[in-house]
Amino acid sequence: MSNAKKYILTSVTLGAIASSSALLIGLANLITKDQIKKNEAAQTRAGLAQIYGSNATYGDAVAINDKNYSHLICYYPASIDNDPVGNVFKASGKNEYGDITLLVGVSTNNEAGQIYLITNTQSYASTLVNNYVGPYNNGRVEFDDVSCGATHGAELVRDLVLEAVNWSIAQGGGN
Amino acid sequence: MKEILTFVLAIVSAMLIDNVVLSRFYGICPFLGVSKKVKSALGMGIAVVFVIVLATVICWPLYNYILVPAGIEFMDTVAYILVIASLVQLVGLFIKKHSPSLYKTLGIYLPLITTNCAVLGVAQGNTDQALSFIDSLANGLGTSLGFLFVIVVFSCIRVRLESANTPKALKGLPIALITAAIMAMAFMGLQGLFSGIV
Amino acid sequence: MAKEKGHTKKNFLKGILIENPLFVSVLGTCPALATTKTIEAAIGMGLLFTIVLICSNVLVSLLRKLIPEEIKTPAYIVIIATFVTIVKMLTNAFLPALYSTLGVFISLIVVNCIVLGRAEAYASKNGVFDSFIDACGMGLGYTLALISMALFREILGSGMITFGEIFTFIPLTRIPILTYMKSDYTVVYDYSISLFSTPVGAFIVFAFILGVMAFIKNRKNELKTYQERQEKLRKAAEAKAASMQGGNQQ
Repeated sequence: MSNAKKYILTSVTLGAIASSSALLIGLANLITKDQIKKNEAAQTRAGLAQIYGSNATYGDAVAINDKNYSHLICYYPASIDNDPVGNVFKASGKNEYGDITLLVGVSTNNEAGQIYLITNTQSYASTLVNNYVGPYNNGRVEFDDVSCGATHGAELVRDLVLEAVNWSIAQGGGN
Repeated sequence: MKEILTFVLAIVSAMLIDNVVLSRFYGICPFLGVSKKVKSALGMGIAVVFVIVLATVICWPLYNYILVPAGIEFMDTVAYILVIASLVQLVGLFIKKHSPSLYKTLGIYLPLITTNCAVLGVAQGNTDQALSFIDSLANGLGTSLGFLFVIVVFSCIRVRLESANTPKALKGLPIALITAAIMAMAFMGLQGLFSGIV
Repeated sequence: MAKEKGHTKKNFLKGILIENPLFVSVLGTCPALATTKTIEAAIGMGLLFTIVLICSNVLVSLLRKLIPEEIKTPAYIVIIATFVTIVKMLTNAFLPALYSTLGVFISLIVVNCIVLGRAEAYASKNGVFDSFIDACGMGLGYTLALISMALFREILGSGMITFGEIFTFIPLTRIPILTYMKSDYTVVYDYSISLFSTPVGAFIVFAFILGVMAFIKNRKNELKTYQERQEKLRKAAEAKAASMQGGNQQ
């Protein structure tokens, strides 16, 4: 009799702990869900502002589902004072060192512009930023100069940007 | 054919290139604790392979077919750790019945597989990266085989270190860590192994 | 009351030096090696760890009389996992840069041997206030240990101390020590050893710190043994002199 009582007490206690934990976590989820969504939207906006500046207005994301350009996710048309100045492409790829998701601006002349890394889980992440992406954005390193101490990461960035540029050209861009 | 090749390459890549212990830093506690004898290291490694593969096989459907449709994805950590704890108990009972000597060798380290970062790390990593079932399985197999490989090699070296003439301050754990550093350096050279293939 | 105060202080301080969870008990090494690439990440990890440890210790101590013996471990694990999930969600919402830097290691606080160890060894046997103080001490000790490892790794590995990348309310400052890089990424001089930013460097720094602590402990033990031996020799000489005197007197 006491054995059965012990089992009941054990399972009731465990069930109580499990359900109160589920309740607490659900509560935390309710509180933080909207904030997380807002963070993601704000991060995208901050990333876009890095490409063509905060004076530009950016349209909504247009998804890209082209199998030949599998790394491109979407693009945002950008314009300054209602004058289209290019598109901001979001692309993501991975190599054996980690993943990269970036925003890159491609002007209406199909030239690659600023690069902004959204996620950079490469093993040499800070080397990639300090020796390639940062200097490239500041105009001090050529786009093809990928030997930087995080060469594989730089090659991945270069390939993603080239994919965006080629997609742009293939769409007959430049109107 | 291509899928099989990709699968095998994914396993080998998870095993060698981003090695679970020397590069991603999961499973350091048993790596340093169990590796004093080769036999216990081998037993621990095989037990970890079992647990990680079974955990991956159970946790992926649990997340994708139970938690997501119910809208409670945030319970994934709690669910995974309960699954892992029960799995370790079951594996322990299995080893006790089929190989009592191995059970005695592993001793206290068997329940410690629950707190092995590699098991929860693989399960949680599969969820965070939203991998498919085959990719999760490859990740799990590669991680656990990499753990087995490294822990056995390390224990072979450490057995020799016991009788070596190390400075007194470095005896025991510090010299073992320096050995791990040299192993990590060796594994660093394997990065970029498949840059042309996958 | 005086005994109570001394006891609390000792309880708090033991987690920092005598029983430092990372360097003395060598627990929780996985996050210590993985998140100490930069000092900011180490501070963030230590902060989250301390929060989880305090919450779990207090709750386990509150419930210690209600949880039956048989399901002790799964119950503690569920409690710890609950707090880790809550902390993870709060971090994702309010400190997203820290969340993306630490990644899966926030979830791995669940299997951190220190949290489970303190819950089983201390919080299940002591009152709420003592468990709270113990958690504070252990958390502070672990954070200081993480910061000390990150100090070596960041200064030697990247050459400069960077603040403001994770805690974005601090403006981005780079304190140049071995490397001076201006804000437009021009490098003025660079004497850093990038090996220390890699996993190899983590092992080496950890080994170095443990070796130094072992060296200090060995010296202390040697000094103590020497002093004890001197004391014994002195006593033996005194006894001999006394017995000789006694013999002379006779």
